[in-house]
Amino acid sequence: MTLVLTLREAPGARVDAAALRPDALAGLTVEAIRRLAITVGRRPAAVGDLFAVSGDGGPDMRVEGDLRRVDRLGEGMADGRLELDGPAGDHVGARMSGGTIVARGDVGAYAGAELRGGLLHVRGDAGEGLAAAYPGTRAGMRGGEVLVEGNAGDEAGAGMRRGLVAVGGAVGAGAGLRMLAGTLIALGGFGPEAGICLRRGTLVSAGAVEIPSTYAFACRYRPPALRLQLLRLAELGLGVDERLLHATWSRWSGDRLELARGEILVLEDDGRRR
Amino acid sequence: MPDRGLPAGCGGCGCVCDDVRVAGASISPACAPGAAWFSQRLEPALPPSRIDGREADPEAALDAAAGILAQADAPLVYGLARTSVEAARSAVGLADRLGALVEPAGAVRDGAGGRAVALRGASTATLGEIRDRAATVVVWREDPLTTHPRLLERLRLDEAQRGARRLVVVDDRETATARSASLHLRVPATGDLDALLALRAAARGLPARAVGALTAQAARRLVDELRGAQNAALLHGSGLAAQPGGHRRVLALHELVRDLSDTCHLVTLALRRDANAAGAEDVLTWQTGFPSAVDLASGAPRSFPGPTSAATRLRAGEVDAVLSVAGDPVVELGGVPAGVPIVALDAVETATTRAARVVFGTAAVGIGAAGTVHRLDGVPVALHAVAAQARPGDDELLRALAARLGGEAQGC
Amino acid sequence: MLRIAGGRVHDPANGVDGAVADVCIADGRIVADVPGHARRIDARGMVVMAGGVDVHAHIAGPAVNAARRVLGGERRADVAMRDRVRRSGTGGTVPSSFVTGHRYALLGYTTVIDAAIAPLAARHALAELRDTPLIDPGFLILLGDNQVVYELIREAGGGTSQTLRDAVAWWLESTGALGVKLVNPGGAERWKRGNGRLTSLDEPVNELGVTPRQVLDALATAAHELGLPHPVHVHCHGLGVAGNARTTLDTMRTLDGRRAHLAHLQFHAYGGRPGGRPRSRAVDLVDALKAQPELTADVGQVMFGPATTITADAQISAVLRDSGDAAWISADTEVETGCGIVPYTYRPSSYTHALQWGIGLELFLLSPDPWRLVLSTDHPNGGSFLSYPRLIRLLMDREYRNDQLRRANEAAIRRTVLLDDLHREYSLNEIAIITRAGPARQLGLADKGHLGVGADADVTVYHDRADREEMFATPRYVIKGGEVVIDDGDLVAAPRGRLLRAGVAHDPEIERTLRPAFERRYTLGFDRYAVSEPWLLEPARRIPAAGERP
Repeated sequence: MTLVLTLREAPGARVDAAALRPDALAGLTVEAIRRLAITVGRRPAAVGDLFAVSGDGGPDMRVEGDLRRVDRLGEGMADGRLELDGPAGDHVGARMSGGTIVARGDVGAYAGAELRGGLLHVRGDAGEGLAAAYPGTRAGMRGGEVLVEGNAGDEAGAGMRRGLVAVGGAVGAGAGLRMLAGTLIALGGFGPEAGICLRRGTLVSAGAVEIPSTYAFACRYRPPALRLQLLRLAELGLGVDERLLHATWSRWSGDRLELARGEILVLEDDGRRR
Repeated sequence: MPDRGLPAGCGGCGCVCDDVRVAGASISPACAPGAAWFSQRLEPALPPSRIDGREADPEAALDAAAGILAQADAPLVYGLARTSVEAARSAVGLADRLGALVEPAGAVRDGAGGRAVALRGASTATLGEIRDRAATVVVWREDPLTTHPRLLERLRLDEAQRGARRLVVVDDRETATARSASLHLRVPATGDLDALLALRAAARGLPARAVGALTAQAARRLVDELRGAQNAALLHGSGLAAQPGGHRRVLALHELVRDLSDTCHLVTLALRRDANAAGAEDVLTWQTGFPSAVDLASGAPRSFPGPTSAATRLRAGEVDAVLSVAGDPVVELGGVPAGVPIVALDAVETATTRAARVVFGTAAVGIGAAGTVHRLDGVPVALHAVAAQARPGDDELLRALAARLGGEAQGC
Repeated sequence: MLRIAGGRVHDPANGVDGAVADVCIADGRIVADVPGHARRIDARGMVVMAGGVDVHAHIAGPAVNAARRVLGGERRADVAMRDRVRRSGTGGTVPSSFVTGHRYALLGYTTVIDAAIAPLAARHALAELRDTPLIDPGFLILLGDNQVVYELIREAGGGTSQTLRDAVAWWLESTGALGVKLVNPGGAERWKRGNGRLTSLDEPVNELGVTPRQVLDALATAAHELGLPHPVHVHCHGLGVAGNARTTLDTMRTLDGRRAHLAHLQFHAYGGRPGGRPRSRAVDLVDALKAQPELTADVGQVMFGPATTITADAQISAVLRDSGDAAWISADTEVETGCGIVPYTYRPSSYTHALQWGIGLELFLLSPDPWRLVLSTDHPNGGSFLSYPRLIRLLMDREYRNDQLRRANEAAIRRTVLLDDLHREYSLNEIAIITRAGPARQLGLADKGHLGVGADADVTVYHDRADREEMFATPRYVIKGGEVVIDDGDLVAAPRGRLLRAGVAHDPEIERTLRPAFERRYTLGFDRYAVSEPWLLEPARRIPAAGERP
């Protein structure tokens, strides 16, 4: 059985729903879950005030409704499966270390921020700071996978240290800011100022990208690792164009103001180079 | 409070000049923003209290204001940059008890420089350091001769006192400051990040891509000048930080300082517009740990630039009451939705006081009320009252409002 | 009124070493007795001490507040909720102001001295201390790099003078400070001039016509002759640099004949060649301390884990900046000082960190006199004050200490004498000396750090637990000024503390000397410098000087 929480009505103010994570609710009775503390704006409230709760506290959990103002869903979860059936708020799956989150709609800012492990799969769009480090934390994402089928906002993957982030659509400005390592793939290309102060790690653009002045062209080649990652993304459900698996990519090394041991790969094959 | 016939301290801009003689509508030494600050506030421009546009009994106004804030689920406390440290403390105390979102106006009006500091820190100095040590001062897309008229003179960078020191201006506008510069590099605002990266590349001996007048050679020359100067300073402000992605630009500027700090003692100064922009952020930082966008709704401070910024929350309709303290959110935050009640404290009429349900005409700091402000370089300045105005200052009014909310605010 | 009954009292200042006795309190003071109807706390089986006194920490002011801005990551992981008593806040190595007061009190500390405030920013520091509840705060003002002070020393031929004495007293009165701090005198001034470095105590500081040695000598003498409650508090040259012990010993000799306090001695006890690997010279420094009875010091222990270096010694800050990838803040204050801030982590596997950790323990274990070498971590430079209980356990529990020794970098530990089977275990009385009685005496705070009749009623009651870290981390009761503020780990009240400031007279004519020098050098009007606002300065207790010598 799956625990199901259905939003009664869209809240007028932000909801801090950090309590709603599958592993924390596993084993709790429905009554206990209804009494769990959340806040609506500055008002303390209980889960039951905002959600109709049914099913049992199984490892799987589904939250339904217009959740755009419901923040921190799945934050810090270590296990279990969370499905979000409506557009969700900020910090979805932030600092999660395991388990799976599937968001059928859009998610807000800082989805998957400082991820440790597990899988965050967003069918819609993501806001700014996807899988990013919060300002003041040097190392961001350390592991796990983040998949966004739609577009993503600014500074996706900022301060990333390890892991795989893939966006089916376009990514906003400042992607990979001060990235330490890891891979950030944007099938729809990057906005301006991608790869600033990138130390190691890889930005992959199958669409447009502005190469910063502090990068240098390295070579054209078919990186085997990228092919495996694209296959993994297809396996996870991202629509990966077959041709990408055999395409040639141009490699720009940088940021030369840092260690110049990172790279931006730009799709070259069959005239699709922007 | 030092007021033995002391000159006045001016709240007209972040410089907080403290040698001002006020004579009717003009001040000396002359300064337009300073003259405006005093002339608009020496005579009270608002009734002590007003409800829905009509003058009201102060007690009734306090009750009305307390009622608005007590009923709100997501109140916003905004402004604080043109009032005292004492008032900012009272406002943040009230916000903590209420569980409000707090946004000092400086973080909006001066741009996202604070976010860059959170990432990498900064090298700063007070005015006297720059005046007495900086051989070269670079002003990046700012026009202090207009916005902070006496700043260059106080740094002895006006042409009369400059001597061999150099004033370099990077700006594509023909500003008064640019016309006074030893070197004026015309760089388009859209090229700021590339220009800063070009300078960083030049500092590292890497090829630099030209941006406007900042050719690769010009970049190398400027870097060599800064390196050779032993002591230099970089002045910046909203011209850089208020652009889209402003914090990435200010980050590049601080990284450039770090690149050059091996041989040059390089410092920066943010040209904060409001007299207490720095002080308001200092108070919020020591009380909560964050300088701006602090959401206290969960019972403890949470701050995420973007999600908890006042502009974002207002735009998304997630603020249901505003307490504005010497600020102008209607203008500075791109408007306050019609249904959201505003309680405004100010000494002058603004778009916000006109739109506010409850208005308190308060005595401005350094004019009708004493108080401390922190200059743009962080130095605390005690301002005494130069005019007797039979009305409270912001601090006193806020404490009365907090007392009115005592029970409810405490228990929330 | 309150009676703390039947506890084992450790009050070394009054010669009480664990005797079972009642501690009676009335009107915020310790009294001989209280009537039967007074509230009674049953402290049987518990340990009773005075409230803790921290002689050297960095808890308020522009430097500490700047540090908070680059510690967003720590803060988000350590939030403190508001409640009926507490304002909300955030923690980490540099907690927000309210949380700083709460957490010091939760450890049983009731007096804390901020060791480095630029006098130009005294208002900012005082405002922060106003928002740091529960502790009685005091602060030391930085005068060792002040250009106006240099002028007065130069005009007196490199020594002290009545003018300098009056100027120092004027500065203390104008800021509400408790004492005078020197940091690597001349270092900030040299650093501000194109990142220059001092090479010796006898090298003139830029063109200001004084040498570091003259500044040390003149200010130490002035403070000594003024009979300040706390002598000059000196941060020696070359902090953290291999081979700096030589300069430390030279500084100690320079201060001969005058009272002086050496800050965070551990950071200044390194042998080895400059630029090379540091060695330990703790033994030599302990000997030097034995030879100069009028010197006192605090250890400045490094504790493994996260820390934040906040220092007016901008030179070492630049070294730390370049040693990693952390944020870096430098903040120069005109005429007075510099400041460097770098978040930092000490690791047991690192040779240098393990050596620093070991040297601190050597100083404690070889210490000739607990009254003169007291506990500090130079919070948050060597570690947070929250690590004090773990440090106390290292000093009291040899088995635990030896276990920790095995985890530290072996090459470093072999450079210390810690493996020579140092048996010493601090007793409860010795801990009471280094954490309250000693610092109070060093600071000249007659009403603090002890439980004699007339003392402030700041009392901490601990369960007598074998695990000393657990014991000192969770006091059963903390009483501040006679009010129970912590009961079984729960903060039940958060009263405001009282400012501890020096009460030293000065000749008002000194302003005729200072005004022109100020107007030449500062960009703030001379008449705006002195603090006089009641909300910043009251309530306060003036600690009198010990009579003014001619």
